[in-house]
Amino acid sequence: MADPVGHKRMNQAEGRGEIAVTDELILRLLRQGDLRALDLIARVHGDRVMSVLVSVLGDRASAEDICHDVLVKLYEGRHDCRDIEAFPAWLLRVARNLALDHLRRRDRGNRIVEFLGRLRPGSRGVLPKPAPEPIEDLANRELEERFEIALANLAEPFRTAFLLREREGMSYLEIAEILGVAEKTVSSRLFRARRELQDALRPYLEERRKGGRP
Amino acid sequence: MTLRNETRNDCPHTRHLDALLDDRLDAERRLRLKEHVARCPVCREERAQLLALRRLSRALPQPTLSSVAVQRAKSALLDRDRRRTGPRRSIGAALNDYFAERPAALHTAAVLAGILISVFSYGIGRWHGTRGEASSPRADHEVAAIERPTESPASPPRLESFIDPMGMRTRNEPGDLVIESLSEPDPDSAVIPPTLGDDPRRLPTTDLASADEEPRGEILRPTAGPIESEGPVAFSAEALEVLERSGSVDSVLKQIGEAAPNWAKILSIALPEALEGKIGDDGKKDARNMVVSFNDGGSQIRLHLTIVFGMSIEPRVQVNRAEAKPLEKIPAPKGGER
Repeated sequence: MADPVGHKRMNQAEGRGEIAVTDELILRLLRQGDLRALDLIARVHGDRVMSVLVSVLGDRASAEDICHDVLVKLYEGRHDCRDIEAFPAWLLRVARNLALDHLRRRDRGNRIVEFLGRLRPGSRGVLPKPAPEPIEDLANRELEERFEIALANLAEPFRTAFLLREREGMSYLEIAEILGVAEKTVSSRLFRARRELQDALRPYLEERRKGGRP
Repeated sequence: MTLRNETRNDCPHTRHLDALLDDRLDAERRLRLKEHVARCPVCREERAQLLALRRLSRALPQPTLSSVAVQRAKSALLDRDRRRTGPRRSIGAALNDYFAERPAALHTAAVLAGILISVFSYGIGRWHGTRGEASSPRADHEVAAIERPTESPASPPRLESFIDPMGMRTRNEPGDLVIESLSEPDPDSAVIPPTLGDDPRRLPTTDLASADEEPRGEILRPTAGPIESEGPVAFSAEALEVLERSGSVDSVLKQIGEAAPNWAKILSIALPEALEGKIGDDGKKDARNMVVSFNDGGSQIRLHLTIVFGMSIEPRVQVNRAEAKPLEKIPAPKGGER
């Protein structure tokens, strides 16, 4: 459990108010069974882990439900990742696999409803807010909500590839490593995801364009 | 919707717009395509829509991995570690945990065990072959007895019928399979809380593990022997093998199936029911204790199990204890029920 070098390095960095956390340090602590590695994973990779979970599951509440399981799984499988270069992809792959397991157990019929209610805090599906809003805000909100619905209806492999690319800005290679597929597959999934979303949102996108908004 | 077909079919360059958007074109092709997009209204509209999708994606709220989740994960791991290093942990449980973390090691061990068994069996066969001519029928019988020391005319557990072959009806009702949910386990101990307090047929306890506990059924930890007709029933050696098994539902069923197939059949019905009962719970409980009670042969068997949730997605099952007692038999009504 002890790692004098790692602890010293981390403590010094924290003492100076700096964060000098590298994947190397995280992986070393993890392999030594130091639970502080989980804090560092949350700090450094937490957003991406959650993005992967939300991408796969389609809703934030489910992602929050299982994110601690991801950390447990990472800790349990800490000896599986032997290459520091592969650490980020391994981490996200574990998250995705766990989310897929969870997804298989869940009723798809409920998913869309959950997605609407949970992805955006305060949102209640497609119901408009009671308070009056400017017309432009209403149009934006409607477009965003339609977008969320379209995302929820997208098949998981396409949604995940799309969000990892568009939202997280990952390269095709990074996405391919996480999904365990070839880059060409990522390319075709992205193409299909974009076209399906476009088809679902085309009337709203065109209206928005005609209204002078980019 | 009509625009979609018109646009995409009208300009073949639209299919390259993804590559332009993702910066996957070389400089020359990128320049050429950009020039085309500037001239072509179809491609311009298409590209604008793809960019809008990107903006919408980036406008989604960013979920964060909360410190609560980290603490929950740490607690689960520490709790598991405490259970593993507890004073009552058996060698079997330790080995099971060790191999659960290292599937490769399990595979290697299984291969080695297989080789050892093969070599041993071959040696026995050779030795027996050399003595075959001199061996008497009695010796053959003895070998058979060694190979199957506890073989008994065990009937399968009665799940649907409660009429035994002798025409005697047990006091148990149909649906012999009984599952009881118990309270959460004491994390420091694998001992299940007393559960037979209301059972008028309760037998004196001999549980050495918890002298303070309320008396309950006869505990038959490793006491091998034949099934007796009177008094507490002892398990066969194979049946005892199920004790302290743990792992995923499938692996436990498989392990028990090898030692006591009848019990595995019962558990294959009981465990999914228990798991289904868990779904929809508040998710805060980490474990659920249960007792699976059924009739096997002339005995009522009670298996005390713990199902652990939350450590990972797949629940784990631990067989903590087994109890058995003879069934009280009452004559079947005249006319015979079939």
